[in-house]
Amino acid sequence: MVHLVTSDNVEFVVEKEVVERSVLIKNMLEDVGESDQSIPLANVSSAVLRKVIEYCEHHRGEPLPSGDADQNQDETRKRTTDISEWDQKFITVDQEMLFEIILAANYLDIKSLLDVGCKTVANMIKGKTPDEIRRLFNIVNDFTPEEEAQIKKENEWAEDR
Amino acid sequence: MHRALAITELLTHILREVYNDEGLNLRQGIKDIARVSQVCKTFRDPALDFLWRNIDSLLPLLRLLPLEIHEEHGDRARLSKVLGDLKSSERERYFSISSRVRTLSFSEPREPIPRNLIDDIVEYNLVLTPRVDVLRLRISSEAGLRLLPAFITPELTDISLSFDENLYVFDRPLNLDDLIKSVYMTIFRCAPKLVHFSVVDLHEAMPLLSLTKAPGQDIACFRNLTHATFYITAASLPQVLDLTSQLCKLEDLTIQAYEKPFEEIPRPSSCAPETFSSLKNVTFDGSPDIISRIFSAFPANRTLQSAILRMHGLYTNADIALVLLGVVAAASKESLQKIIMTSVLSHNDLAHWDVDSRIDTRQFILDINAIEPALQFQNLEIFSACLGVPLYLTDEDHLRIAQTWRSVRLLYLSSIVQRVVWAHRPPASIASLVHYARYCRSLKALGLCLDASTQASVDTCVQAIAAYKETTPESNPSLPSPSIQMIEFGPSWLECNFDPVQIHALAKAFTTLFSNLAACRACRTEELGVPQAAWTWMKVHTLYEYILFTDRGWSVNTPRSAWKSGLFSKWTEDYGEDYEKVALVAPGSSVEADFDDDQNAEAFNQIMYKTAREELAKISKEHEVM
Repeated sequence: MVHLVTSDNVEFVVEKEVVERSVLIKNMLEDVGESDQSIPLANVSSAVLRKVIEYCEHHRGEPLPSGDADQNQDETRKRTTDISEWDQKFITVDQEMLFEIILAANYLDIKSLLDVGCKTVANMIKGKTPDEIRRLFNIVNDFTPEEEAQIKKENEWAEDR
Repeated sequence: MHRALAITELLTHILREVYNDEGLNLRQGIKDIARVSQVCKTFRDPALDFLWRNIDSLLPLLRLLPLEIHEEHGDRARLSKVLGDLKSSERERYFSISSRVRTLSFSEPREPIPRNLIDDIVEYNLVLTPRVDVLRLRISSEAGLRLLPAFITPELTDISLSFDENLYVFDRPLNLDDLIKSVYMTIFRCAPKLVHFSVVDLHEAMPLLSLTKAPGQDIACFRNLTHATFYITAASLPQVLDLTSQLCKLEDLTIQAYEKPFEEIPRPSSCAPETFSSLKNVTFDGSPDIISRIFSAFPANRTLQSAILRMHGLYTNADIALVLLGVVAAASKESLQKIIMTSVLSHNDLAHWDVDSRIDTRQFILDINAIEPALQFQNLEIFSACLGVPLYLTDEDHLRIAQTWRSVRLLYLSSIVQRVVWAHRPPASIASLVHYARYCRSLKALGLCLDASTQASVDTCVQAIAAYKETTPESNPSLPSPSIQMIEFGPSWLECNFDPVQIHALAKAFTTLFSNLAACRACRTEELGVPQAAWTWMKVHTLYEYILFTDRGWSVNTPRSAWKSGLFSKWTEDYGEDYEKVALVAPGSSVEADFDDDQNAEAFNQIMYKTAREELAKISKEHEVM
């Protein structure tokens, strides 16, 4: 079993097989060897880690993506065009939690979870106007009117297609 | 905005999913990513990187250029003169977008560019795509040729160039030859990272191109160019071979040469002994004469690994042998691992064969003489000859092949055909399978044409197995073969409604020969008058699997499925080891199939056929044959 301590000081005891879906933790365990010492995860809160562990438990035993991520990026992307039903249900959370899961997946190096999170955000973006995207993610439009007009003009060919 | 969106790495990951350029919704992806670029400054650059990465038109780039209207020129738009200043903000703004382009496809016939714009681009020395990797260009005018250097940059790794008919016929400049030569030399001089080079020029002979300035002073592209492809007229062969012989890193060479009517095929001169020394894979497409002339220019003993030879039409033993003699002359006997030969019969060939009673089809009976030269390559791992008509090989020929190509993994000897010689019975019997099972211990897929329609053929096989058992010590048996997974019987002869005794005899023989045979397949050539039925082979294969099932249970390595398991269990209950009864009811040509799970014999056959097809696809893909 592996002991993990979150940023809000909550300890989780997780099976090694489950927690090793995180490449970061897997490498740590390989470097340190068998130890009862807790692993501090300063960038992950207990609420988020709970979700991450839920994901890892569900996907335990599945093959991990190969180490050469860049080379396989395209293929992986094609394979994961759709989000599975379970993953979809899992990732149906509020926006704050969604982005926190993405950050945690990125930090812990759990590629499949990162893909699910990013795909979910991408699906939220698709088909929306710039203004709708801004409202959805609470983004301030920091373009000047001239800049906005310029970028619109440069890219209008994409709208004509 | 959540802080996650401010991390470029994460934002790029998300936008890649929005763009999704591998999917069916590419157009929507482009629209979405264009809108994302307008959201805020943080989103702008990552989104623009995706938006402009691959573009299939030059117009979006040209629209970025500032224009001036010159009334004295009839309102023609000209590029703004400010672009002449290398440090102008207009020029920099253009580069801030155009430097994101990695792949550009531009077809001049599809999107003609006004000549005056091209003149200005050339005059202002404007590089249109400063960081492009891949270019696909189709040029149809003199102006297009002059524009081409504006695309070439030191980052270029892959270029496909196509010269349109219009350039040669309707818009032909006086100095066309010089212009084309200049285009080639610009590419070779200015693109030191070029790896792939492809040309389509089906109209006139290419110019002679010397890439060597002086001894030891080669041109930049020498260092990286490994793949070259030419779709040309036969008249360009000497120039293409001269050019490619200068590429000292060349690994893959594809030449598709088209013979123009009444044009003589030139005989390329022999290349120097040190040329083509890095070449590994060749693909040549043309008539046997063209292919043999290409090989004749090569120095001997090149360490080729694979030769793919594509022909079109009906050829004789001598024609096919001529091509293979070319391979023998050029390739090292030790290095060559793969030969794939195809000849596809056109509608005209087929009509000629079918209708013209004066044609003596016997002259197109291919036999061992056609492929004899290839037997010199003893290390072959893949040999495939699909020549439109079958190779009529004897049992002795198959024995020789099996004893020669012992490392072969994939062997197709005319398993796919378009026509057969009706009156000519395949001379090989089922005994040929014994040779491959015995000698080719790595063989996975085998395709051949034989005659299994007589008891004599089955008897010959049984005798060959018996003879093998007598001569082989029990401690070191090579039968059954564990490696052979797939047999493609192609146009082999096998009667429909085959006698259950003979089906049993064949299936029994199969169990002695193969322990892992996953599928049998045959092409449906009943309409050609050949007495065979694809389904009957499956009947044999089904019984083969059932015998293994009753003997060894599911310990055999053949693919399992629910329907097979259910059916075999039912047969075990009903017939046990009475295999001839099973042969009668086994799905195949018989419509009296005895199984009750709501499927009829045809449906069952479809499943079997699909299994065979999938197995073949899997094996072929594994060996990069298809």
